[in-house]
Amino acid sequence: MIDRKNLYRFPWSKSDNAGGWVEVTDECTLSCPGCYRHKIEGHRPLESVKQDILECRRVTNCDGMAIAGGEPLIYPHIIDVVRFMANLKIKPTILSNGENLTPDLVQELKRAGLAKIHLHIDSSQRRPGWEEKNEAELNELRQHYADLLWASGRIQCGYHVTVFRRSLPYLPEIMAWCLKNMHKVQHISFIAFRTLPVSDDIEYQVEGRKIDLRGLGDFLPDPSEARICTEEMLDRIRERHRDFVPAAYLNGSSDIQTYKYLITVYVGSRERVYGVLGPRTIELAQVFHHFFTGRYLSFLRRPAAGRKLFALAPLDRSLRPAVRAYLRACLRRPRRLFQKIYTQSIHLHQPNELLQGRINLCDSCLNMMIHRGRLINSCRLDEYRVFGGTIQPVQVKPQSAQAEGSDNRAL
Amino acid sequence: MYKFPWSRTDNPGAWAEVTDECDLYCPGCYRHRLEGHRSLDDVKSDILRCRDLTNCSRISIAGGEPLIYPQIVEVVDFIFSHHLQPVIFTNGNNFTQELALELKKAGIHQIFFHVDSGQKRPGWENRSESDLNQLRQHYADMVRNLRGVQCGFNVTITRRTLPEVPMIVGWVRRNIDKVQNVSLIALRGLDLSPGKKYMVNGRVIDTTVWQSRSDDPHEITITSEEISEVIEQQFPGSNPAAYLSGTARPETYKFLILLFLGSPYMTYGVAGGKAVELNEALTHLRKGQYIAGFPNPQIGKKVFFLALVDTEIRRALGRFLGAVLKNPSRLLDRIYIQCINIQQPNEILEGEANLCDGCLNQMAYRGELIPSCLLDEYRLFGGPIVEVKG
Repeated sequence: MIDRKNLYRFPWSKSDNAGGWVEVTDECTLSCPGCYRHKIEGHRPLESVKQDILECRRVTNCDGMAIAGGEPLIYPHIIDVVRFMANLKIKPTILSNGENLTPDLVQELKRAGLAKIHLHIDSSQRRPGWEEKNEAELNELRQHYADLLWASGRIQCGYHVTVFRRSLPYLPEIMAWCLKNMHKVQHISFIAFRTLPVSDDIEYQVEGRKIDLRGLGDFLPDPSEARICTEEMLDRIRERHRDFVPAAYLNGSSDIQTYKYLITVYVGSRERVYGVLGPRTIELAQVFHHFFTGRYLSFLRRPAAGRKLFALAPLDRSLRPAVRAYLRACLRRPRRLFQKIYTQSIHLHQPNELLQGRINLCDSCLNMMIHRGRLINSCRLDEYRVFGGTIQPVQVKPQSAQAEGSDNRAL
Repeated sequence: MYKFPWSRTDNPGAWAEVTDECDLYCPGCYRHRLEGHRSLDDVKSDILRCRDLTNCSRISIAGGEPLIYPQIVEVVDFIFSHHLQPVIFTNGNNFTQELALELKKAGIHQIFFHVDSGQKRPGWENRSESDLNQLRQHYADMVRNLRGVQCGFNVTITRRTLPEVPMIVGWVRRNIDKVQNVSLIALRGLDLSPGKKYMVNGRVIDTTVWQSRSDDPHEITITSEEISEVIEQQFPGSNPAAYLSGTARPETYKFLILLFLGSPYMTYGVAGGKAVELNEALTHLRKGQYIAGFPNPQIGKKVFFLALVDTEIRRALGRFLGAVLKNPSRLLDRIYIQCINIQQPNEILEGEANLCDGCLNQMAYRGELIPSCLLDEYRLFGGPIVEVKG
């Protein structure tokens, strides 16, 4: 059970947010379960992408922006997009499956100003050469990309893992691999699989019109598969990593008691993990960054945050065990005093979902994007592209039950 | 401008309604008489639910008219005893010296009086906003006598009264020692011009039961920027410091905050976004809760230290020093801060409900947290109204 009083609620909103989102193509080289993007438009014109970036920055005041798709690395102008963003002093992050990531492209992206790549790797992807591998075995592929980006010297490395019931038991093992690569891996997102359930008692509408959800692709026969929540992932990780304590969150838009986004930040060196940051440190980082730059912090440009971080221990109770662990480690081996101190953020996500008859989004979503001049949640883009608006679930009652509903004066 | 960091689960304010009965009928009011006085236990349980869900530091007691609720003093006392600031929203009709003292004893923090010329208030019919400053003065003086209780006013702004806004703001500025808040709230209602249809939960609704509606879209589309411009024209340099944006249209300003600094003799200028940001950030770091307003409106000359980081306060400091040079007795004046809230409430824009992102007035309804302006959409129709497009 999480006590919300021990967590920091990020101060983000739609118009003052740490993040933004832009999509450059809807083409992809893989077909991952849970992907909510359809191949409709192909590669977008560069000018249109640039306009969306400018508008997204203007409306959201974002510090960093995700370049997504589809698979952005097959977009012919990807270097131009990264350079354009970096010139605007936005931290560009590419979300990729990694299939097209070569050492040469890494160097080009680095020169263009790329800050970070998040690689989507999980066992459901049926990735050529990695079929039938489990999440633990996929750590080898993750290691390959982490080494590739580490060699680049400047681009940060992150991972996305879609979590199914089948892969839930492997979370501690992925975490252990991440922690071993504290200096190479700055981020990992565990994203619970979601899809809209199809049942007789729910009808889906867009602007009052009934729609056929099959327009959005195939569905799971087992609804329990789409109900993994952030707390469940947290419990699973904590079975092996007792020090995994979240510091901050975003709540749901319709069910505010849900944790749509739960963040833990580890602090350590390439040799060992010392502990986690607490809510106070996250709050101070957000507040100071905003006060001095006018923007909330999406992520640190340099992951080697340094020992100065420990100076916050008097204000952050949760950081004190990390400081004690560090001092003890230095007493045992004084050369550790000269090791770089890194941070690594672990995100647990419970994305767009249908909960108690309502769509439950991330309140203050970090991934808002511009679509036809308007700011929308990127997870809903294809609701607009396929159906022309957002999907609303409507509870379908039997006729007799409707007549009993005395407080509903519907015609 | 600074965007307030408030969210649904970390918000300085929350809202509780004690009754839906009222002794006035104000245009733009979106509360219908359905239930009468609520049971005290229900009100208390909603207050606790609100506190747990929103992490709030103050609770607004509203209605209906809360001062006709028989247990109003108990409600104030209950809120205060839970270390929250009780704020009452009233039309003032039943505000007597005796009740005022009882409320003060129970721990009331602030009283907001809804006074405007659209109310057809007995004895004040056909008066202009400027005439109504006399009534506002009466209430401001009464609250001033309570010592330590803050005073605010709500004014619904219509096309007719928009040009009179400077008269209200001028009076408020002269009473900076007595009046801490004025909310200028643009009139909103359901647009029922030909062809408009609305639905709830996928079914078209009967809008004839909805009292706050208009056949003239022009009347219900006054924006907060329009109100702000009217103030700026009369009082140059009245730049808003902070805002809340809209949920459907983040580029709209649902809540614009203007903070005057001065004494009853002279307004020196305004506070800027950096001052508000510091106030919010430091309060949250210290107490774990955000703040709406300032704990002590008599902020003192120490506010001018913020000139180091806030350009607006730097200008105000310049004017203060200029005034002191001309008349050194100004140095002895007390310096106050006063908040003008310009609001553009719940509206349907291009078919979508555009609410305040970070709404300060969320309330518990059947265990759930909803924006208080949507309460009667739930009570009458079972959920929020959306427009039927096409």
